[in-house]
Amino acid sequence: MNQLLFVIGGWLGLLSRASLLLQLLLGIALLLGYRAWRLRNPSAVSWRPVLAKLALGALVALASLVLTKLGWPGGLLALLGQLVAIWTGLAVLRLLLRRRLDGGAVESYWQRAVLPLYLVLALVGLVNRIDGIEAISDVPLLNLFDESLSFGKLVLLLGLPYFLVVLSELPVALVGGLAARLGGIEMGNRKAFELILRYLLIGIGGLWLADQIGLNGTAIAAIAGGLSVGLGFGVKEVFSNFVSGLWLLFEGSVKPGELLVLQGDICQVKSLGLRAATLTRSSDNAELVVPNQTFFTATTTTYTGSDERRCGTVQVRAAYKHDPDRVIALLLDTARANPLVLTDPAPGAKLSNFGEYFMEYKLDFWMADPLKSGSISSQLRQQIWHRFREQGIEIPLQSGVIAQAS
Amino acid sequence: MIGLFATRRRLGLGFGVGLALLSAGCQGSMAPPENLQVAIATGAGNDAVVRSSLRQLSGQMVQEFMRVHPGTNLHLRFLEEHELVESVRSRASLGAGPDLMITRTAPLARLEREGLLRQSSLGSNQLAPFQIQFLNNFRQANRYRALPFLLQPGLACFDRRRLPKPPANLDDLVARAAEGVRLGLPLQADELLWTASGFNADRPLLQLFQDQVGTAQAKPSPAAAPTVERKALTAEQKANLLGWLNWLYQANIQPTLQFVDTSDELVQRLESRQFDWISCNATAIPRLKRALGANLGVSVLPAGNAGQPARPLARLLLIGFGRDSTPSQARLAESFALFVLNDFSQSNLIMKALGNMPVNQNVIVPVKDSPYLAAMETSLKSSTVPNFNLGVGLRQRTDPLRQLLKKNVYGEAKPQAVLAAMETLAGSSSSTPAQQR
Repeated sequence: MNQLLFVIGGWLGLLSRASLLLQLLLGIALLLGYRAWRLRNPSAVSWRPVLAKLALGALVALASLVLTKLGWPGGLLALLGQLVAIWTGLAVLRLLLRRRLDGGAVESYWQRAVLPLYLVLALVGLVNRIDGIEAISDVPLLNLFDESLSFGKLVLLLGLPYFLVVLSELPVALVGGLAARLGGIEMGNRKAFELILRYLLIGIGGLWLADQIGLNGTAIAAIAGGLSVGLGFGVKEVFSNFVSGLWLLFEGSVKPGELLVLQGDICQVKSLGLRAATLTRSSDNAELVVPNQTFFTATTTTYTGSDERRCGTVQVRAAYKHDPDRVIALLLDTARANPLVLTDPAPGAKLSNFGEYFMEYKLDFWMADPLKSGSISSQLRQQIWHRFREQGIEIPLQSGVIAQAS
Repeated sequence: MIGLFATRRRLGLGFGVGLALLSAGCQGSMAPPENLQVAIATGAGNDAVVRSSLRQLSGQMVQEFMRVHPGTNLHLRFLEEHELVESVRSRASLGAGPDLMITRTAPLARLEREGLLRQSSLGSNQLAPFQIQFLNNFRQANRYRALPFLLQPGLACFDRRRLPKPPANLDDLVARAAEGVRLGLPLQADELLWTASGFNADRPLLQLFQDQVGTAQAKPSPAAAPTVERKALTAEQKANLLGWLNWLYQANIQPTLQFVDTSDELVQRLESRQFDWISCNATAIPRLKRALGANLGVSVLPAGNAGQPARPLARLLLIGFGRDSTPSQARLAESFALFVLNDFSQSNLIMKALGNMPVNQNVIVPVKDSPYLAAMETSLKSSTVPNFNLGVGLRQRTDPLRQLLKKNVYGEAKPQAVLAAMETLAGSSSSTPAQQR
């Protein structure tokens, strides 16, 4: 740590040089000016801040040019100008992406990935120009498993996992989109493919990181040993859920987009995470976080396993005085008239039972979207009631009193 | 929102005040330590052990200096020689160039041409007690453009088991090759100059490429050396050069005498016993000693056939001063330069860093204690020592000259054609500065 402070102290010593200090103060003044303008114009993402950034870049470049013409070093301002130019380019890209893609997703990716990455690279670039990045990255900080852990390795150890997780999102989505377009993969499989690809990228990145920080085989064995004990006791459930999640992805039985029946409700799988799956319940739009292990140990009913079509049934009663052929024809006619009922397989109707004072009929129909089962059944019941009324077919009441529907 | 404004304003104010205090503190009465940035590029090559020992030795010197000058922090940056110019150029463009540089003649000459060095304000009276060799080679008016630091002479290194007695002259060298002794020579004009000296062709070669300094600079600095005009070669000089080129061709006919691209490769191949004798620089001794132990033989290079001693181009480490330093940093840099040139440091250096000879003539080299030091001292007596005008051109033309020499030794071009190409290279390069980059 002392050595790290020693190196940083050396940089502060450079501030005693008038030429460097002047550039630094000029740069800070211009950045503060831009910041003040932004605070007075806190508009949402638009072209105005982009133009302001362009103006800032131009002013910084001009200041650098003037200093150089006067025979003073202007490289720090030139570097700042380059960083502003890159930032402006990124801002333009952000605007264009917001127009073409989901704005929320673009903003989320921007805040989590692009902005932190830009700041890190800008800082690395600045340090590299001032003293060479090795000056600070090679500073030894502590010993880890008999390996000297330098400052650079520590930064990698702390920062790379974050960037691996966050940055892998976009390339994985692009590859998934390309695969879906070229291979005609359905949405659920695409999501599963993307998730597996992302885990793969993160895994490879993790191995690379272990290699970079010089983690030796003994250390890895020690970590694995420690983990075994940890997994056996403390984090058994977490690990079980993680393995279950991976297994489910490979098996393809629970994929994002899948429709499952959970506790009697139809739910759609929104995402399959490391520990749990997030499901959306269609009846009340609630989000359920279900541990992956649940799907691994319990029977799961799915409507989207090999076929997304679902069969629905509407039961209806009619009085004995009506010809069953006529009632069945009417039911079939009603079902065929509903655009949400599939024609193939064709709807079917049958006389299912003789009651004490009624005959019971069943109308079976197929629908393309299992989530609309409830609404289609409701529509059909309404339409049957109207058709029965038109045709004078009575629906007997339980009291036994025959009443005309009116 | 108002609260946010107020918080940000307070932060901004705090930052401004902090910066002001910081900058005031750097020069004010709080007297923080003075920081000195030192860039070191000695051309130690890829040998990890040599680099590590160089770092250790430099660290010791810095610790000793900081003990003598409390309140100073020296920050060492070790660079590869080819990185130095770009690194200093880049840092100087920010105003953050190093205060002091230790490197060989060629890179420092480049830095001077680019105006990235300042002349030392140390006067003759301050330097006189150290009796520094070759100091006047870098004198301009009453100032010094750089200060000599250490000398690294050219030598012959060999395996005693295969070659009990090294070749005495160039004919002997070829005769040994004919006997089956495996000999290696580098295809680097500056490292091969000693063979040219056997034909009195070293001076013409140096003269041919002498005008590189001072002419190839788009914007010569006011401090740069005056241009040395390249004189045309006389018929005698051309004959000497042709004689040397012809000898190189004849030597390569011997199957056991091989030319390799770099002197580093020569050292590697002697280490792995693929060669029995090579021409080497004294800095390779520690490395070869590790590989060959007591079997390592070191001698002066073979003389010319007329008996004149070989005149190798020695390597000279120089101390240069950066242009961005504050007056106090410049003073501190000069104090450090005086410290490493004093009797104690120079004596310490030659004992701990084998392969280096002192420029301080007060230091007595214990030649009786070490045959290596004896060979180094003998070699230095006849060596050509480079300065910002002499020898730098050869070093900077290493690659194109290697190609020409390669064509010569493999018989792809006649010596006359090679000489003509060398003259063209020297002439064209003086008018096309871009080639030097």
